[in-house]
Amino acid sequence: MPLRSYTQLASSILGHFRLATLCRILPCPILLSGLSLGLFIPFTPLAAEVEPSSTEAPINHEAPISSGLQALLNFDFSGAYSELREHHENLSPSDPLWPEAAYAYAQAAWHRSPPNNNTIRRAREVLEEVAIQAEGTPLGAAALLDIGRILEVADNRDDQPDPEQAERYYRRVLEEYAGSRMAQRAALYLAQVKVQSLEEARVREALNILQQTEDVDRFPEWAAVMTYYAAHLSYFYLDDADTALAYFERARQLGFANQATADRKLWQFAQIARKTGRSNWADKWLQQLLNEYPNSIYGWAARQQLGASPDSETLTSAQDRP
Amino acid sequence: MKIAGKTISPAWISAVLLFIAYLFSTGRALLISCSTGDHSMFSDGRIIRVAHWQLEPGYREGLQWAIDQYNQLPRVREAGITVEQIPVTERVYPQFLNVHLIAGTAPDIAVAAGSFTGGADAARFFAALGEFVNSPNPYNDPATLAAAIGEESGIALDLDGSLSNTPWRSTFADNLETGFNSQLNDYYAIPVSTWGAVRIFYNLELLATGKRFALEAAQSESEPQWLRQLWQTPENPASGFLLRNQANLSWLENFRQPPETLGQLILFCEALQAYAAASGQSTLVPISGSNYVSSDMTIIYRTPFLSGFHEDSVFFTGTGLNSLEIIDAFSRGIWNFEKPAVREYFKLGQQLSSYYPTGFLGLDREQALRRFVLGQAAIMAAGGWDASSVYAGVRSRDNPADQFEVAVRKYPLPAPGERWSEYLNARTNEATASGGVSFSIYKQTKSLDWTLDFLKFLTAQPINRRFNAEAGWLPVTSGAEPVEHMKPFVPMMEGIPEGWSLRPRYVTGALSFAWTQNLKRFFSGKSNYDEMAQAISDEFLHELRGVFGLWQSEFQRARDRSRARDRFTSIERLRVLRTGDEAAIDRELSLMEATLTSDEGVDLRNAWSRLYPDTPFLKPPVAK
Repeated sequence: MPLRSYTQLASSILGHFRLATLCRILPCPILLSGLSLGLFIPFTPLAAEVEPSSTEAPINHEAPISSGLQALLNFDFSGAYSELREHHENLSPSDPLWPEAAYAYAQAAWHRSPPNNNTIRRAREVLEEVAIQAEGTPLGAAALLDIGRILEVADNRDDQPDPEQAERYYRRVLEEYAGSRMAQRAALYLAQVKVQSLEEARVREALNILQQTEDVDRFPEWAAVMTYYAAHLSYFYLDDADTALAYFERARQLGFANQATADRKLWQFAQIARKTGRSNWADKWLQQLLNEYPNSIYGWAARQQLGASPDSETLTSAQDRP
Repeated sequence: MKIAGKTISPAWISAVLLFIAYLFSTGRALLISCSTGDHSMFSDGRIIRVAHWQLEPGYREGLQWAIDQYNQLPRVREAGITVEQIPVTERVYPQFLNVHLIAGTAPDIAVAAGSFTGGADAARFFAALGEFVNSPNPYNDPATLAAAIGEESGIALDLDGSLSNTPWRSTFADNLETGFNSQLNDYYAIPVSTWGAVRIFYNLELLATGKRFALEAAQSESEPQWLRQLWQTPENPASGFLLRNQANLSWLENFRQPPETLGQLILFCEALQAYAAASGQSTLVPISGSNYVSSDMTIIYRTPFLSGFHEDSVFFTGTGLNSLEIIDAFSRGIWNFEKPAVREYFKLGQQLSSYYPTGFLGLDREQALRRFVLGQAAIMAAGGWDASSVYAGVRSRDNPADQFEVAVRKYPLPAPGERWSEYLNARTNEATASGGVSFSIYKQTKSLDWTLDFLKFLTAQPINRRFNAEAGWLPVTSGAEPVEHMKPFVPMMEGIPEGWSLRPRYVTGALSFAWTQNLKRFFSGKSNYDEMAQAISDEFLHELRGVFGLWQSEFQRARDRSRARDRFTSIERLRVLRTGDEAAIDRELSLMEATLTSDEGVDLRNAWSRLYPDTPFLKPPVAK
């Protein structure tokens, strides 16, 4: 339809407006748009002014690496990858910025979405370099743990996991960094790789690793995680209630890693204790649940099991007057 | 057109109108731009924007009262800080927030909703508050608060000082559990109100009408059929609902007394239905049901009926029930539609939904509310968040004669011996109805200190009490007494956990559709029990889409969760390596604990190996 037909159509809709009238007021919006631009432009912040670059000036890597790290800490893996990729590749390993920049770049390459085998492979290469360059430091150990994890799991359909090789990396940290927090982490990773097989012998191996590595005096928070995990494995994988309950009692004394789920853990192991005839344990843990988590959703059920009379008014009374 | 003797072309009038509209909109845009931008034309002030979707009557006004109090604090004024609220309708709020989060222009404080509230997105867009919630809220100190707001504010400062040294986290009635993100092991939100539990609203005028009608029927020489069939008698033991005894007849005589038992509730509903038919009031119904979950009274009774299969259905002792466990238990015959508890639950549901308006599934929350407020329904189930709407709606009836008194009660349970008393012997725990309107702080806010300060002010005991009283909501701060008419909505922390009930959620589309649609068809009378049971069973046991398909999808989800946890763990570990941040250490430990017990779906494989020891994982078990 030619432009004139549209104008005629609009004119007929507007009724008493003649075409000529419409044409007269049409410039108004254009004029007003121009006015708006004129009004707003002075208040619109300008983009950061950029100094003309000099070919001789050294490239400043610090600012973009810092920005990339910040993006990574904000869980913006793709943003971090874009920022860090170029600047990391241009840094020399002797540069003091290199270890952290390389490690951060590897994390971004590993975790950016969607998972890409090429970038994950590159992440692994960079982590290998970090493990060498930062050997003997927590960063070097962390790089080895990450390589183990990359090998252990499949990041996408084409990625073939290699748990045996993953175990070797975890064991390296366990041995080369013995007595450190990184070794504690390595023990947990190593144990859980073994449990993935669901074989009884391998689960028992996992329990042995946890037992041998646990260091309550130096790393009580890690010992608590290990002990709780051992309780979980003993009951749900080995059907060994006695050992499980003993481990759980120890974990309870050490304090749970995630306090938000403490009431659920107390309830769960109290149920295991009741089911297996250890009511003294059960009562103790249910009592703790009631004392320390009075608003827990398990409070009512705990009171029922302890034989304490729940608030019968709120439960079964037919009428609750406001 | 002639004005003052001069002929003026209509085109010029249009142009002038257009120009005026232009000037108005430009001026407004300019004002907003200047006041919220980095540079201000008119002052050095900074604006803290608070976005939420609580448009119920009174909430905005209550929040505005608190905001005004805060804006008047001398130190706030000196700093040039102004807090403003941005109320946005619920329908567009998630999109509104999503767009602004991505654009980097999100409000400083917002109720987290939409696509970016879970997992890494919560950590990416919102500030972790763990390091702030363990120290006391200074506004809970009587001296500090008095000094801050001054005597002229008129706020009752009856603070006993018991919260002065209490960590901010512990001053919340729910211990700030609502704001805790268990995946990230940190606090990401501060609730400022309490949702309140679902309660039953009664129109006392209609209650009296229905009971009077029932009493007359009960006292007549020949009881009508509708009443006779309600009494439990030796001849009618299975289908009656309550005993024809003195207690029930006395209750009928007290016209303004709401039902005390489930049997009395059903008696009243039947009476009102009969009254509506007898008086030709086709729009009058006993219960204002709709497709809004809270208004469906059937759901209130679900947990006590359907929690009995929980212990036998869970894969791991002592946990709640998830959808896979529910549907797998169905496939193993632990529960089915022949089980008395299941059958009876659906009978009760059918009974209650027969009192809803015809076509109730096409009605929404607003329509249910309107029907009750207009006096076209005697009963409505609603949460504490809707209470102010109900009261305001009734008060705002144009004709004072149309206004009516409202009574609020907990849902009635059957008296001993009444029908369903063997199933309904406990209530449902209402812990999930605690902290509400949880505000998160946008990570890119330029005024983190002031946003935190405002939230501390808002959750200080006297401020929180007054703000929620103005809003018609329940306060969230410990010891903040709610206003009288909101007390019935205080959640009950006693009762059966909701997570023990058969309630398949977050399942694959086909299973979810099969469950919800067939239930709706049954409750709306479009299918009978056997048809519903058959349709759901067919889908649950379907070779591909059924329980076996659910195992596959849950396993995939478990692996996806492992990937997500790997990302969190990496970042928290990086924080630990860089700064030794104690909070990051705690978060990493918590993530590790979760990873160990469920990594790569190992818990599902373990459960499968125990349930189906002769069948390789994710191969359909051979039917026995």
